Amino acid sequence: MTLATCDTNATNLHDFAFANDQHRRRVALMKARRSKYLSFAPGGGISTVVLIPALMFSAVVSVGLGAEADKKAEPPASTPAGQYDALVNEYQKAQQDFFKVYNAAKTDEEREKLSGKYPQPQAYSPRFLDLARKNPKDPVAFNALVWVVTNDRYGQQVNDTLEVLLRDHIENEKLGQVAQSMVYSNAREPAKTLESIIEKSPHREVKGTATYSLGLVRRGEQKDAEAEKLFEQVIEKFGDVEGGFRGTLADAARGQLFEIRNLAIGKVAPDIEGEDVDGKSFKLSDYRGKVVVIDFWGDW
Amino acid sequence: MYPHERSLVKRLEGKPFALLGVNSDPKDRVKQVIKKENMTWRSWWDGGDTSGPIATKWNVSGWPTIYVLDHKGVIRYKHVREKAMDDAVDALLAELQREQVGGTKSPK
Repeated sequence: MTLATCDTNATNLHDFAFANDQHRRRVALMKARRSKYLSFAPGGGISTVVLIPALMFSAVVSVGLGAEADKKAEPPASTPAGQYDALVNEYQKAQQDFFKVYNAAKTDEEREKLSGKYPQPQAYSPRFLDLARKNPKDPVAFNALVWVVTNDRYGQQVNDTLEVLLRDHIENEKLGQVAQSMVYSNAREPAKTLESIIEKSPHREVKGTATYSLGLVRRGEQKDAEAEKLFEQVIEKFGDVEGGFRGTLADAARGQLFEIRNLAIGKVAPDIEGEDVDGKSFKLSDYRGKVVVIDFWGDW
Repeated sequence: MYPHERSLVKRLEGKPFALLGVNSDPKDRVKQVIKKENMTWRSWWDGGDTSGPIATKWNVSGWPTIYVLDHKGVIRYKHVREKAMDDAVDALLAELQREQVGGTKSPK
């Protein structure tokens, strides 16, 4: 695996965690599908995504975290860090083995049958949690807890693990990834977790990421007025922090505000003016009087 | 996606309906796809990647993203696919037809 591939996956992970509905998750998956690491079969990927988006989400997340570990020299297997890496690698190996079989499947029916065999992160969580319990002072404890929260987000362990993270690791500068994962999580109260992080983290980057993530959670709850306030705060206080889909948190928050204010159901769509692939220009407003489907698409 | 869209466009030929794409592929690639998939509908070419001006303005971060607009340009449905997309379009076409029938009645 090359470093470039690692970086691509880290970006995918980021897009993914910041995606604010199921459709949006797809773009990161599509990109991941192109990368060498997950090596999806051409043509098989789209049904993969439709079949098991939640499972795939886990795959991308763990690839991202694993990629980070790969950049360093491998620690000896006897150390907590070595044990952590071994666990992460074991899970990734299980994923790769799964995708080898999955990509070889010929029909949707076969693929559907296989989707139940995807390696479940909750089967690995107890070992990560054990590692964290045995090495509470080692930085690996934080990584192991984060693995559980970001991978096993639909499992039973997520609430207890979050509690430990907020209690023992609230000052960790990498807590932003936990905040992002709250956008898609079965955690009992993702909004409360985010509010705690915003209140107690000493790091601006973490606070900014948590505020933006809370905005996405509020949008998901159809509380657009609250979401607007949060996105305005993001622009005002954390605008320069990197994150979101296109650059900084300010860009991401502006995009969200535009969507809430101008692209909601019941609003007149803003005009689109541009050129087709042959350079001929045309406008959305040319089609007034007709029912129009706008399809943002790409051949991936 | 493509076969479904092709059949939607074909089925509604002659009706007050348009499918418009916003494409995020490199130009040579999208040209190939349009030809290969026999796409009869138009697409704006959005600069060759997912950060194009139209997708950015519309805050799109997942593909495909679908908006369905009524004949007045009002956004009526978002993120509908396949049969849900067809149903949305049919409902809006029926609404338009009712309005036109109602509108052409001579007032008494």
